[in-house]
Parts: sequence; C-alpha cells; structure tokens
Amino acid sequence: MATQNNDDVNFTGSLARIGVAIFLVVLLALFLLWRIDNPRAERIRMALIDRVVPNMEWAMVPVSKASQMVKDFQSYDRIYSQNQELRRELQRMKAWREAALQLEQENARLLDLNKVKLNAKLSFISGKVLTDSGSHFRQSAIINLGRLDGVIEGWAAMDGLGLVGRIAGVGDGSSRVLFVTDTTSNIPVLIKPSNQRAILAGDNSAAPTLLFIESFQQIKPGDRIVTSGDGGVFPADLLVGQVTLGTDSQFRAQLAADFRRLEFLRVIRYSPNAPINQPERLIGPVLPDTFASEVGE
Amino acid sequence: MNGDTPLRIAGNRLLYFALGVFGIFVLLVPISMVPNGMIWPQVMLMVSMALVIRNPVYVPFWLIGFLFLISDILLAHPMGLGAFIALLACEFLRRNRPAFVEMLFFGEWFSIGLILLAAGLLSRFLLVVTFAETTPWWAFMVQLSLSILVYPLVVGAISVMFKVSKVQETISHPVRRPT
Repeated sequence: MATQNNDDVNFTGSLARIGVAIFLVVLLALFLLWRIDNPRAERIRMALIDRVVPNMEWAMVPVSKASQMVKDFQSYDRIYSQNQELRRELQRMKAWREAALQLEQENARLLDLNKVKLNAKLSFISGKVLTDSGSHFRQSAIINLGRLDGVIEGWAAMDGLGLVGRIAGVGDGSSRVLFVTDTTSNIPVLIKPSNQRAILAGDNSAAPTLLFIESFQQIKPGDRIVTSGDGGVFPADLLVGQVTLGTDSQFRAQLAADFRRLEFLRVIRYSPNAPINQPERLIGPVLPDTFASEVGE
Repeated sequence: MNGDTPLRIAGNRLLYFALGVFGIFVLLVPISMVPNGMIWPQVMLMVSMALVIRNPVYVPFWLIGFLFLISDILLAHPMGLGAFIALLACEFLRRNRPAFVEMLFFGEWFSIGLILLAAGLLSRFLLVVTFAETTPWWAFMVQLSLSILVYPLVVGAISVMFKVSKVQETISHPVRRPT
C-alpha cells in the first residue's frame, strides 16, 4: 500500500510539475505582453476591474463611511476654533466676492468692446470614487464613470475646485483616474502672474514638483498655477494650485484639490480639436440638393 | 496530510483565498487619497510561504498563481510579474520542503528571508531588463525588511487559523486529529 501511495504521489507530483511550468510560462508571457503591448494589456486589466470593482461597492461603503465618521468625530474636537476661523474666513470671502463681481462686470464690458470670441464653457460629469490604487507607488483611483457615460481617455478630473488628475484607462462602467501626484503624471502648466510655463510632475508626495521653469526670478511662492492646455490633452485655465518652495528648495505645487476628502470627482468633457468630417457643411446655410451635388463633384 | 478530509482541505483552500481577497479589499478601500508614504509588508506572500512549508495541500500552485494574478490586476501592479515571482518562490519551497520542515524556526526564518530577497531582486531585474519603471531602492528595502519581520506573526496567525504546524508532519505514527 505504501508503494502504491508513493506511485500515486509521484504521478500527481509530475502532473503538478508540468502544471506549474505551464502556469509560470503563461505568467511570464503575460508580463511580456504587458511590456510590449501595454495599451492592450491595460485594456484587459480595465475590463476585469470593470467586472469586479463595481460589485465590491456594497462592501466598501461601510468601511469608508466608518473611517469618515472617525475623521468627523475627530473634527468635533476643535469645532469651536473651526467655527471662529470659518467666520473670519467668510468675512474675508465676502470682500473678495464683491471684488470678483465688479471684475466680472468690467471684464464683460471690455470683452464686449473687443468683440472677443470665447471658448465654449466646459461641461462635466460627476462620478463617485470607488477604490484607490491600493499601492504606495501608484496614485490613482477608480471612479464609477466609464465608456457608457461617454468618458474618453485623457480627460481631466477635478474635485470641486482644483485639478486632481486625468483619465487613464476606461472600462464600460468604470475608469481609472491617474492623480497628478503619481510619478508618471506630467502636465503642462502656466504659473499665473508671470505666465511662466512649467511641467507639473508628480513624485509620490502630496506636493508635485514644477519642472522646466524658465526663469526662477519671476516666480514666487503663492503664485497661482493653472493648466496651460499645451499638448491639447487638457483644456487651458483649470486651477491646479499655488506655488510653494519645498524644503529641498525646489518649486512645488500646493494642490487646490483636497485629496483628503476625495469622494466625488468631476470629469471635464473636452475634445481639443473636434474632427471636421464634412467641410462643405461647416459654413453657411444648408444648400439645396441639386447645388450641393454639384459642389460635391 | 495526515487526517485531512477533502472537506477540510476545501475549507482551508477557501479560507486562504478569502484571506487574499480580503487583503486586496483592505488595500483598495478609498480612505485617504493623500500620498502618505505607507509601505505594507507582503503579507499574503508570507502566508503562502508559511503554508507551503506547513501543509502544501492547502495551497496548490494554481490557487497561488490565480490569487496573485488577481492582486496584480486589481492593484495596478506590473501584470503577471507578481504572480510569477510568488509562484516561483512557493514552488521552490515546495520542492525543498523536507529541509524546511526539519529546520528550527530561526533557520526557517533566515532562509525565508534569503528567498524573499532573491525573489525581490529577480523581480527588479525583470523590470529593469524590460525598461519598466521600478520602485526606489529604499522602498524596496523597507518592504523587504517589513515582510521578513512580519513572518513570525504570520506563522503564529496561520497556525491558529488553519490549524497547521510543522511538528505533526515529522511524527511517524498517525496523530489523532484534534476534535
């Protein structure tokens, strides 16, 4: 019986050995596919995430709600001081609101005088954050908007105020937002009063670095940073944050978006150069049929 | 292997899988999006290694491969690489299992540390060779040492959860199963 047992073990053992070898080869092939044809591999990944993650939401909600409650409870601690602070801030904001209204009116008058054509207002879709990336080395999140909601890769994602990241990977019902804090995120920005161009490059810290600044003398901490729209990926003039000087004496961006409370994201609809398919229909009234066919030839 | 009913084997495989899925789930919960520099040890890899030494029936190769492949995909890691490394390390342990069963715990701990280092270096090597992005060295070292430090805790936890130990295996006469 012992020998029989041994044979049995050997037989299944060699079977398992072949299985392991095949599995290892498949995994290595998958890794190579990921390196060689990255977009396709990421599409496969996104399709799988699309299947799995929205179904996990019911389990996620209690946990994230509980953690929020803990945070809220901590903030009850300093509720009085916060209240005072908010009142002061509100007072200041009222003054700013007045100034903004006056400026807006003045701006409208000047634009009217100049007959300036402005870009169409950007519209957006709001989505809910489902999961974060789950890794220290990747700064991203999955949101519950996907191809079915018309989301296109490359669109900008913002919270109420500032830029958060861009869409990188779209599934049917979910998509991945790559945060500006990720190391692979590089975004062309404009530093505002001096109109200096720079690249906002994430480095896994809360404040991304500003690279390729032309003249450091013209920049000082506190300057506003907005997207420049260079490269045609992002619309221009989305607020990013403020310039700060890091302890390593490097200019960094203090982000306007509040990454601590990122529950909902706005995805900005933007198509940089709308394709012109039918040039004859671009200008002027619709032509009568006979005339149009002549023009067509 | 002694006194493992098919039901118990299936139950423990399920427990192993559930543990892995729970781990992925915990990592994915969106609590804070601020980059906080928190580095987690590779707990699931340590669980798999400890189980392979203690009772390899509970962690068949396909289960390990499948679980780590899922985690690669969901956690946005290089696709397939983590599963490849984990499967390679676990199967190496399985081939050399008798040696590890005989070892005292400190010897086992040390060897596991060496295997983990080798596995991590191989993974980095593959990433560098294919010109992929690698994590910084300091983060790699921190994660490695955290994983090694957490190993005794993992062994303690799984010996309670899966009711496995190395001693049972070495005794030649059949041991009565705890009821």
